Amino acid sequence: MPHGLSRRQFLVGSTALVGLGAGRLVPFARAAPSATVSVAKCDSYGAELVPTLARMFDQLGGLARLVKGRTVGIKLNLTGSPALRLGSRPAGLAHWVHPRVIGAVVHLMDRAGAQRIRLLESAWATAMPLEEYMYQAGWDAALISSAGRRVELENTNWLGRGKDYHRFDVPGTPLLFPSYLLNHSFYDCDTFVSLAKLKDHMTAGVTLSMKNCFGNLPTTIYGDHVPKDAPDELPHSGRGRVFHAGARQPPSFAAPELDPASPRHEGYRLPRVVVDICAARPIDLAIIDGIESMGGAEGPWGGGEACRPGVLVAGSNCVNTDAVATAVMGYDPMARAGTTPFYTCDNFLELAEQAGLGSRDLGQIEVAGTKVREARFDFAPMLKSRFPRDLPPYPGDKRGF
Amino acid sequence: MMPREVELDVAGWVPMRWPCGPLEIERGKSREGFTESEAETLTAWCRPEALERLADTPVNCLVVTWAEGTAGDAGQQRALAPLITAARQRGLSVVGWVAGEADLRQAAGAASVAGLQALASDSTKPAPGFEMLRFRERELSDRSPTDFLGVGGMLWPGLRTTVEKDADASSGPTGPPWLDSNAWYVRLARSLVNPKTLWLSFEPPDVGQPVTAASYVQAIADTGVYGGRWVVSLDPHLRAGLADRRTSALETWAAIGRGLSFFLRHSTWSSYLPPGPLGVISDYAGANQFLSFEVLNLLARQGGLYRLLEKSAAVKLDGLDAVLYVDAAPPAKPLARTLDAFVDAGGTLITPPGWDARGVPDDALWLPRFRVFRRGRGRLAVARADFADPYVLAEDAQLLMSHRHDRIRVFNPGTAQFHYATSRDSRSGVLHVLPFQAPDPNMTTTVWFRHPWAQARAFHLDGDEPAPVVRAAVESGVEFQLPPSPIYSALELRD
Repeated sequence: MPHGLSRRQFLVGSTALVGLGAGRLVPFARAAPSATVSVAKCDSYGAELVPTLARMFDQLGGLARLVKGRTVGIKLNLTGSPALRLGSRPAGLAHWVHPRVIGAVVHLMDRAGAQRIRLLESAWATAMPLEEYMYQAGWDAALISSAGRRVELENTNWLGRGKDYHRFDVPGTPLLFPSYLLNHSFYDCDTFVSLAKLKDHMTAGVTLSMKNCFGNLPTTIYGDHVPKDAPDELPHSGRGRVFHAGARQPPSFAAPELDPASPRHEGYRLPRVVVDICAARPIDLAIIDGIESMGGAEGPWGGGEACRPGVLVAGSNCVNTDAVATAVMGYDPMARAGTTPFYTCDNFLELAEQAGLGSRDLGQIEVAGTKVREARFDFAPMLKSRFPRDLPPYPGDKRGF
Repeated sequence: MMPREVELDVAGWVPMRWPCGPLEIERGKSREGFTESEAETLTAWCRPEALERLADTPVNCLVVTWAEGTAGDAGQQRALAPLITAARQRGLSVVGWVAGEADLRQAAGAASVAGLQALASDSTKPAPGFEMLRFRERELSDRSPTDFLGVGGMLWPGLRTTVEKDADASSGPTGPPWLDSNAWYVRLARSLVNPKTLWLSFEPPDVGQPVTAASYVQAIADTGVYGGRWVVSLDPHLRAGLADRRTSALETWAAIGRGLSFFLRHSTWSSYLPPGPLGVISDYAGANQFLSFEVLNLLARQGGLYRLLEKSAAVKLDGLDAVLYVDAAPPAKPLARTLDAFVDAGGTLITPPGWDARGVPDDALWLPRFRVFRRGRGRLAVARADFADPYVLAEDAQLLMSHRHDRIRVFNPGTAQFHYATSRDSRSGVLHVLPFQAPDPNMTTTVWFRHPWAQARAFHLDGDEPAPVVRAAVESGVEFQLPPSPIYSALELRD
């Protein structure tokens, strides 16, 4: 929970679906904060992983202040079907956060006194238990669960074990939707962690701790074929029609978008959803796995190639952390929309900064551990390995979308 | 009449529908869009020289339209006479198809005079003194033992795509497409009836142009992986192309020949069965037929490995991790006792609602559609509501077993269907790969097996010799990378 707010205080503005009562906005609008971001070189997922992460968390002020006695929700990055690989590389070495990073984070949080740790992901097009999703990828979910004393897994792509979805209002000035309905697990945690992978993204430019939270959105509500008046019972698809293309609105009980006349280009829409969702459900700790990853695209469906940046990035402010991680990738977090890596989209970091979520200016951010220039691993050359897409380039004038 | 003492090697017949003659032309005329050119093709295929295209193929049995119970039957039989004579001279067998309304005795009499080896029909009427290849309906309500079983009206195996208007395809990875397949049905039919010979009859789709070679090979493979045989049937465009000796048609025909020959050479594989951890129990009949059939179909589509167990037979549950009891009515007492013992010994029993839910509630695996209880060393999972969706049920059954215990995982499967089967002694195995779309060359297919197969060889239809496949030992199993192939291939596995 940011800035010492308890879950109850934070959730004053969130309202359960039952009764469809109006919620009060949570006043998160503030001047763009800056917090320390830790960067560390880490060559492998072996023995050095736990001590490296432990050192990074110490550099951020320690885990205990964030997790002791609390329920921690950790949104993982397990995007796409568990049957997909980049070539023959297991997903954890390419587009998924590595299972050993998950285990290490769970272990350290447990050691720091977390009362309960819940691993979260909206498993692609399925309501199956998250551990089964992991087994399908060849992971040992039981081993991950055993990294802490009380570890649960929840597939957040549907209602799950909750009785209701919960509405999260976007504080301040929402960019696309005024509120979002999420699985109960995002409500039922005191500390929310985004555990992401360091990757390019075909639509948003880069995908890091903030874009990871796009996966918070259940496709039983925001899916392509959800009924008009009720949630789908099970997830079946992606979110392209609602968010990327704006080709349909969510069901009637979910908030429609603020301006149906706004551009339908995904380069306009997706960065705004990302900022909205991170404002509505703030990230207390961002951790980015860049030890082994892929460049060019966020998953094998987009092409791309494997890479070994050999780096971990973590911070308590998601905008700061993503800005530093963007720089580690060899990009400029201040890059304008329409330029690399945001060459078909708005820069979500810029939008987040304008929304008061954090600063993307490296000059304002203290980097602990390894300097950015020493950790830098250029992702730009890998952009040519991306499958071509038939998308209009960013036109400069948003109204031209 | 053909003496019954003559042994016909029906099991050795590689059949092909041979549409020709005036009855076929009349039937064609009743179809919209039938052209003069198609009529000419049907006439051309009636000529003895048309049999030359069977050279270099293993096709050795023609299935011709023989009688439909109309005034045109005699004319059809006369028109076929030269073809039949020429076929017999080439050592080919000829089977006459008799439509249900025709007089079987009359048809058999004419067949005997003409020199046909057998008649085929879905009629149940008697035809004394003549070899009958009986086709039964898909539901298999008649499960009387028989050496030959034919089933008609099956689906053309392939990809079914429905793209919604205005669908946004740019938003990331897509879900699995719908695949039609008959392989699961071959297993079902062989299990329920256990014929020596099983033929499936289905027609290629009318796509306005010749069906592709890959699609024909998939039809052969989809039927053949578990020992069935497709009655090869060509689309009218391909038949016309062959009559005109067009290069593309000849290439497709050659591919069909290679596919047929391949499955003849590797016929031992058809006796292999999936090392299924899941037993599916049903009577596969009546009110239970739809759900039980679809569960088998969808388990196969989802890559689930199962053993088919017919309720009235003595079921063997050894080696299974779980049993899915599909039928709404509870089992008879002997089977109920067997299932109880299975659970007590450590198995998982999955049932419809209404079962006696004895045991301690088990929250370890939460699946909202089931209440799960620990009993003995095993578990009982009782559905909260009637089984309504066979796809979800197939998925749930595998979840209740847990993918932790998967025997096989396929990574980057594309739109292929995979059939994994092992020999009785488990010392050898085969993975049939049926791509229904050309695989993406950028997406390497990797297969993981829990069984630590020592070696694997990849067989392709075009190659003479199999190629060894690199093996990688990984945690809890072995992996092999499949060489990409746009058409059927097989991975032979050995200890």
